[in-house]
Amino acid sequence: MLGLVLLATLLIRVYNIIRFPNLNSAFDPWIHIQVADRLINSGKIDLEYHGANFAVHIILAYLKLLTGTSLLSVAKYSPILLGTIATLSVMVFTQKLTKSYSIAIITGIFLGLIADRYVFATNLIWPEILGLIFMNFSLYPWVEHLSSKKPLKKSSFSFVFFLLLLLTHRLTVLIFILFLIPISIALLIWQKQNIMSISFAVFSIGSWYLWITNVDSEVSSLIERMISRISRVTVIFPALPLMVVALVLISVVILVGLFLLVRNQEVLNSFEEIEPDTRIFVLWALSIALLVFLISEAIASPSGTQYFGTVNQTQLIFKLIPKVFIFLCSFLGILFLFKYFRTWQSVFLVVWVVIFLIAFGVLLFLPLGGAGYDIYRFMTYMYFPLCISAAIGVFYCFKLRNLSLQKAVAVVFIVSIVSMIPIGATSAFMTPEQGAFTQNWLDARDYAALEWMNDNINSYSVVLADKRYDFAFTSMMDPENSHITIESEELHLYYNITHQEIAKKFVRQLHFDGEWHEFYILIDSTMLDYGLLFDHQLYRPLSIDEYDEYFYVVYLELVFYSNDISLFHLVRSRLT
Amino acid sequence: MVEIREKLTIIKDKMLSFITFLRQNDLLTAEALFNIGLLIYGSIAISFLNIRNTSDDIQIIVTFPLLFFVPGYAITQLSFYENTNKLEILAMSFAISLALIPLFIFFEVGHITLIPNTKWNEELAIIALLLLTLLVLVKHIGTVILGAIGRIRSKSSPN
Repeated sequence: MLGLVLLATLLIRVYNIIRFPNLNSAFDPWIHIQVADRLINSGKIDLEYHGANFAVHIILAYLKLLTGTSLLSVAKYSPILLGTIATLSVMVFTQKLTKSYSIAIITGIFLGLIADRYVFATNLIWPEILGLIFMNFSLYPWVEHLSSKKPLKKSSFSFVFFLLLLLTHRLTVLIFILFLIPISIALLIWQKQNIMSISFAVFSIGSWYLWITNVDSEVSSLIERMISRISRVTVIFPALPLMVVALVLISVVILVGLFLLVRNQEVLNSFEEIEPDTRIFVLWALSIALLVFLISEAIASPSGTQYFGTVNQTQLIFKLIPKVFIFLCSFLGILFLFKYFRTWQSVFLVVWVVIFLIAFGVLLFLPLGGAGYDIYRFMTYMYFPLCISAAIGVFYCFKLRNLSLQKAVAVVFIVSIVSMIPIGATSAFMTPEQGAFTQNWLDARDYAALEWMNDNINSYSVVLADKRYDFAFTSMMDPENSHITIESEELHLYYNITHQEIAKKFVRQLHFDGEWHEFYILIDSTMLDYGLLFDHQLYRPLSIDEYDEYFYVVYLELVFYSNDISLFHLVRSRLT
Repeated sequence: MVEIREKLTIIKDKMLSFITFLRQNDLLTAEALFNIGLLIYGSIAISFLNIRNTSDDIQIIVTFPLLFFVPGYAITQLSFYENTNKLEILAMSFAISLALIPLFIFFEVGHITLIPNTKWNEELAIIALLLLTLLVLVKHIGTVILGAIGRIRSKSSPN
């Protein structure tokens, strides 16, 4: 059964890779290809460009050298390997925590169901996938230590994996530390005299110190951003800081309460031993009403409106419904965990979920988007504990119906696996027609334009394009054409300004470094539809007055056209 | 004819005694066979990295497990995973192998400036094979050798 889940995970990735002929993202994957390319060509890890997160680039470079194929292909096909190992690591971790294969398998299926394009990216290379593997494996030896109370022989590996995690992905580290510290405190309270608990605490505090001082200053900048955001929002909504403070206070009280309860706790041999309780189901049904209220509040919040406003029907079916289902099931799982709260596993999971939900609430009301800390990215990490608790909830649903373990797992498995492949394959990477953000999308037409540029334009030219073309072009570019500069301005910004202002900007960009350069503009149909650019007069030379105004005569010449992508050449000439 | 039959009987006896020897020394267990088989595979696979006229696809298919599974598997088996389940061994093997790549490449030069080395694969394959050899020696053949030494000692001792 485990093999089948892994096979399904693998199939989803293979399907999504074959479905799209090109690497259809405009942003991060290209950056990673670029950094890996620089690593191979220059022999240097570009710390300035991408911080200390270079493990994934080393692996990409290594795979390129092994296979001899292009970096583009390596980046495209590597999720088959990395994504499958990531799912496997989640299942191993769950099995270690719950001591139940059934729950581990259901967790794997659930994660497949809500496969998100970030962490469980199905056809793109994201460092999060590697980060998740390292995160799980740096945590689970400690979990084993807790469950068996054996001396921590495996913990040495935990440190190695954590070191690699520090060098892989900063957001994963931040989120990892977010629940690492409460767990270390729980350990200290539970096993006061245990040397490993103390070392664990030192480890987590040390990692914080390392993170803040040496590796990155992301944490401090995040705090700064939060403070500035609070002060800015205060003007609009004065009660918000109070709400945030209250939320933090409540969470502290909950956590302290939890840790006090952890004292003298028991070890649960396996989650399969827990007996289902009808009262919990009744309580769950009542709680759903409350949850519905909270969800409606979340939809009404600024981030919620932003998110749900863009949702279309396909997204609703394939993306939201499985997630809502898992949210509800996880709530049932949490209720079961509360019943067995004196066991460390329950505390571990409850603390984990509670911390994530609090952080989720804070992010929901205090959006920090644009800095890599937006709620969508955060949610992908939140699904991990949620899926474990949801699996526990579903597991007990079947137990209550007196279904045998095998039958229960078989039913969940068959239903889920049948729905997992289409849902996972569809929701994991949507096309713009299905509601994906077009700004994060490159299709065959874009590729054609970029390839044409690479082959035809002068190597000292300047191209003004939407910023989504920047990374892709730089990565695809022939080294001989490396002097081509992409001015990755947000062309959409120009919609609201006059053509005179645009012309001024172009003239300025035509001349720099004491030389005149050829200038191109890459325009897609969206911009033409707006009809604002150059007041519809794309081929019109400037009038004498305009010439006087702008010093030079400028007109646009169409040099490339592919469906709705056009490349215009800005030519300078004198009016006679 | 009789001579041939006698020779065949001798060969059969020797083979039987060899199998008995293997059984007595726990060399016919599934784990031992798997590890020794892996060592044989590794020895063959490493040659594929040096054969330049082999097509890339065959090279990748043959050497992929050697680079992405074997090092982690050997470390897992050597270090601490005596009573762990197969799922865990599988996951840890892949993860450790994956972790070994940046660690090896990073610490090979010990500096942030790397010299991209087309021999990385071969170097890592050699490390994988060494680890595997160590595993087979420590867990299987080593115990046989130690047992034999023990028997020789007990025979040579006056009591």
